[in-house]
Amino acid sequence: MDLNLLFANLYELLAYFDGFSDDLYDQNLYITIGLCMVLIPVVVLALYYYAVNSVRFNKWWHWLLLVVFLCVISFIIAYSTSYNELSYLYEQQNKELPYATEFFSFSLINALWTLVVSFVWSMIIKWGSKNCRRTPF
Amino acid sequence: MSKIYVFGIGGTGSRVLRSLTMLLASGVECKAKAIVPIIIDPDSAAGDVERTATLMKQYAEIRSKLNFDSKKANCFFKTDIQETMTNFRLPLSNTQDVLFDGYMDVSGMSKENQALVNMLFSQKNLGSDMTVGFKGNPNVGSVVLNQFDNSEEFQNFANEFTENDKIFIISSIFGGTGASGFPLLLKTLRTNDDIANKNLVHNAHIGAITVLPYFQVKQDENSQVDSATFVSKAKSALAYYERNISKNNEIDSLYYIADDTRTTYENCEGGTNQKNNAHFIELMSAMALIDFANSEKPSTAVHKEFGIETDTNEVIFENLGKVTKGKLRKAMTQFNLFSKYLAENSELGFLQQPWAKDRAMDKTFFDGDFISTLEKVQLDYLIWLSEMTTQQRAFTPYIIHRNSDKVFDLVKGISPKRVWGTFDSNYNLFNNRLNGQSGESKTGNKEQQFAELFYLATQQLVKEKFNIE
Amino acid sequence: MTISLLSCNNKSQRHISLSSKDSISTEVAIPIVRPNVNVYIENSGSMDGYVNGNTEFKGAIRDLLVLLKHYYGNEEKIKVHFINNRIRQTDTQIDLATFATNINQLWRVQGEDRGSSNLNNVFKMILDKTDKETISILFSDCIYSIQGRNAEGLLSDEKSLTKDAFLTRWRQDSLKLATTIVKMKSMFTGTYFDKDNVTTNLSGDLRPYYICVIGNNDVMSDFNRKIPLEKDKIEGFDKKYIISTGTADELYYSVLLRTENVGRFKASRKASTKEHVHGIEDIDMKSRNRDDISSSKFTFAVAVDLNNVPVEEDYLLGQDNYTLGDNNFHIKDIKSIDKNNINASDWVKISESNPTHLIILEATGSAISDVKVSLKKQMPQWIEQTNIIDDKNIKNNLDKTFGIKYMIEGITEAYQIIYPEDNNFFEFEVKINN
Repeated sequence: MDLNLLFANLYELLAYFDGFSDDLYDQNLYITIGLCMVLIPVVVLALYYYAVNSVRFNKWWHWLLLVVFLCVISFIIAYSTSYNELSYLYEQQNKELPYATEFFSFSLINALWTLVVSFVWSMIIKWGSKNCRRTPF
Repeated sequence: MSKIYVFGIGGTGSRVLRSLTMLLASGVECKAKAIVPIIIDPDSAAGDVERTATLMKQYAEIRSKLNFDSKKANCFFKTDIQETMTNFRLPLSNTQDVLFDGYMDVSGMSKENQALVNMLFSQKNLGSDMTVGFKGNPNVGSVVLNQFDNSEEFQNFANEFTENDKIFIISSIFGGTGASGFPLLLKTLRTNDDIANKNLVHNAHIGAITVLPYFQVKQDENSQVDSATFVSKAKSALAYYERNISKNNEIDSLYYIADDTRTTYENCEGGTNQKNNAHFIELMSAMALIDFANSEKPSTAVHKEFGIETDTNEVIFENLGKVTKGKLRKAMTQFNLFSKYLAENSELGFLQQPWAKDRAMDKTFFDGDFISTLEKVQLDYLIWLSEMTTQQRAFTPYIIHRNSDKVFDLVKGISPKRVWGTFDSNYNLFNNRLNGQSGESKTGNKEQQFAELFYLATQQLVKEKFNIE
Repeated sequence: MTISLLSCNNKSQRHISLSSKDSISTEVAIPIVRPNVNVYIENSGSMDGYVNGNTEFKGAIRDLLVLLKHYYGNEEKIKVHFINNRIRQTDTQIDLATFATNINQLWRVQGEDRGSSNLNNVFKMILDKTDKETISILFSDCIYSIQGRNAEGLLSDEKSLTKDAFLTRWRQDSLKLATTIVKMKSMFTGTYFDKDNVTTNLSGDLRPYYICVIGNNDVMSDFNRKIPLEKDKIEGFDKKYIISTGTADELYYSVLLRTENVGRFKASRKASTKEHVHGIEDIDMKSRNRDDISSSKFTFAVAVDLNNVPVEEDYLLGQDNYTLGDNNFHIKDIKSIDKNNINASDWVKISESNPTHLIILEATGSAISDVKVSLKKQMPQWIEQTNIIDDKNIKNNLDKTFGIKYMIEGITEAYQIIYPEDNNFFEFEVKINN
């Protein structure tokens, strides 16, 4: 089960960036970013629905805020990981970093996937939550 | 279990019945299959009667939607209140639009009788308009009320009566209607041969509570009611009872209740304005019925008095005796929370909660008859509680406020405990506990689910917050 | 916090890992062999002109002996001989460093028959003395002496004899021989005898002669690596031709995705790793700004490491020396790699493997299939160019050697018989999934 390939297919489904996507693949960055993109929402939402499980936070917009927050985190992780790793890579070869807007676009895609994952996961797990099983609806 | 036919005579009778209804609504345990209230009051427009009848009707309406099989935990509205006569009243004939002397047909009497009449009754008495009762004159009342056996409704009552049924009579000793009515009623029940099922009725388990003076009225020259006479009238009545009731075992269980601390009410000679605020004494009188329901017919007459643990002008639960406290505290507090919840939270807030959504309790349900009737009863309950706090000898076990940041600063003498394991407090905590109920609260019709749900949730909350079980 | 931990982890991983190329080179253990080296200097009459004066010939001998002494150390292992009809050993006490300077004193010896030498005989003698641990180095003008009119026919006969000499040696004990033939240049002052024995006097003219190095394959690989028989390292060096049996180690090659390409494509992840791309897919002939370039031919570049291929640079750059698997592609260009002309992300992938050249492949039409590229083993151009079969007018053909092509062909064909499948120096394949 090649995680790198799995995530690569997922991300590149939405957009493939010449060179940039290949670099991410070659440096195995898809694994780091992909796992964060999946696991962080899974853990955080599980906590929200089952540990926090609070009437105080069970309005639909609480959930939305949380998901937006997760997307932002995902964005940051994708951006900083890809930027730092690739900058270092090219620096080592004394070559100029050939990418500029790709970091932003890729991170945005990552945030988008986070949104999807969060939504789907929420729909699956919310039913067991005493106070939040109707959040967001 | 048996039915208990409760005769509430006069203003006091109605007020005690009101308290009783409140207690039964809150789930205080009563070992009776049903309570059948019968109000006896010639004052057809009496405010207290009106109020009590309305309340009992609403109670019955709510209860009709609920189900109390053995699996259900809900105790709110558990005891049945049955309306056997229209508006729960035993109609008295010939008290409308006629003066007392007309009623007695004094003018048709012989001269000797007329002289007797003038001796027994004052001119004022003779000229009384009885539409509003006997205004504190039992001598008048005793004549007029001597008509039970003629009443069709009374015959119906006797017809329905079965072997294990009981009878309880509530009256005040110092008033007009109550003081005269009680002995008359009792005599009819025990001795009258013209009633149906006379053997059953004659031998039934009969109890009564006699309420001694606990308030006074303002001095008013124009009024026939004068509380200065309350004590003297009570004394003479008590003497009569001893001779004619207790000694010949006409009554099986007789309860007395009195207080020397007294509020002063407005002096109203009956009518819609005779609507006194609820009093602690009335509540405790209702407790006498609860005690009666629990007891068996004794071989000789039993007499009981009521007392509290601590003599204080502001009575809270802690001041009550252990048994009374045990019967009242949990039920009243649960119902109090239930009432506050619906009164202080907007629909929009709780329509979104899982507990409502899971049971498809939508806007239609909350705008419907069941909820609106329930809310009326609950509003009345909260008013009833607050009325008792204004009395001399106040019953004020709760801090009455609408502060939603301090929902559980509720029971005097108990500071609310911190509930661990959740971020929720106040109404969020309430909703949290509502969301957590399952099982029986999810079966049956919506109204039943609603009652069960709130019963279970408030039960959990009073345990968690106040350690009341 | 999590982020920085993860990225730190990646960095440390990068520093520890070795490139695949490193691991390959350390795995092939080269036996440290100290071979015996026998140097044979042909001193027949036709060679006199090379030792007349201070010639490059002498310089080359000097340079070679110095190098041999340096790399193969032990002077007892290095012996210098003169060869014509027979082998004449020199004194074992000779100082290798000064041998070349004093060569004239040793050139002739009383009673030695230096009339003419039979080249094939020379080969036979030398081959006899060559074994697993011995390298033989021959300095000779490599001219067949024939008698008769039909030069071509006679040269073919000589060629067969040369071929036979090598085959015979192989049959003896299946020794895996390798041969390196180096074309050298030196001043020649003396008499030139043409094929009909007509003489021409030359004075100070640059004439080719040859150094033939013969030895066991493994030992020869080592020799080729150590002793730089190349320009500026050995005086008079001109050209080289290595005949060996080893195919180069598995070459490093990688398709570049964004350099010198016409049309876009992706690396096929099944056929690629972090260090190389061996397969591509999803070819798209539209350019980045959506111009339709489908009328142009699909082109891509492959970076290869040709460092270990035992041929000269111009052989590597000669497109005709390559064969492709089918006609769907042809070689558009071959050039050495300049870091500055390589796309940054391509560079990042290939840099650690140090490829030396780019081979640029262009589609011939619209058909796309897998491409196999092979570098043929064939005789370099210079051999054809140096060859003449009529050396009457030597003054106009100073740079040429009579019948040299036949000699080298003879040796080459012997190898082709011994190793019939050894046709290519290397080959690689690029899988293309349209």
